[in-house]
Amino acid sequence: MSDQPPRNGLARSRKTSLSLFYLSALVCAACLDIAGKLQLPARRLVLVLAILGAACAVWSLLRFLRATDERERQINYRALSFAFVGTLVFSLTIGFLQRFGFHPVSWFGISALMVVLWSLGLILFSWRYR
Amino acid sequence: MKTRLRVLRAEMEWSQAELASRVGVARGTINAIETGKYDPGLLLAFKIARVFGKTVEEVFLYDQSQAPPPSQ
Repeated sequence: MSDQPPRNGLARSRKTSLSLFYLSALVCAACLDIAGKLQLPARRLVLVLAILGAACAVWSLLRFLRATDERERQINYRALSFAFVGTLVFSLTIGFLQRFGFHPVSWFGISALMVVLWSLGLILFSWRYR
Repeated sequence: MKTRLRVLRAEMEWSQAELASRVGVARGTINAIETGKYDPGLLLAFKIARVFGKTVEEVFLYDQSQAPPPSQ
């Protein structure tokens, strides 16, 4: 018998955590979008929901990272680097273009872009190490 | 780095999933090591060698032709 934890359990935990992350991020985004259209008492409630969604997203992301092996951690590290550099280049480009009257991009768009680039990086580098 | 992992696994009649379960990694990681797409770290290399009852050198072979040239 192996003294390692059963890998199937870890794989399932990884999948669940990633699904929960995307779901929480979606709930957070939807709440932030809806909150902008509401009046004060209801708006506060929806903003609390958004914060809870964001907290859940962070928790599930950390849970996802804990359930990975060394190759998956390397894939994740590369995906995060890819997302960081991509977002940095995008932010600098948008900041520069705004000097010439380009439409401003909301702070929320930047974080959404980072999640999209990270997901893209995960797919890209998983394929690279397959 | 070259590896005898596939041969050793075949001798033990283990599937990739079974070996992955024994060393506590994903099946894809075992596949990536066998196909040379990924070089395992020291800890994983020792774990793999241990489940076969071999030394690291008997499972993984250093291929000098793949090493980067020394800097001047």
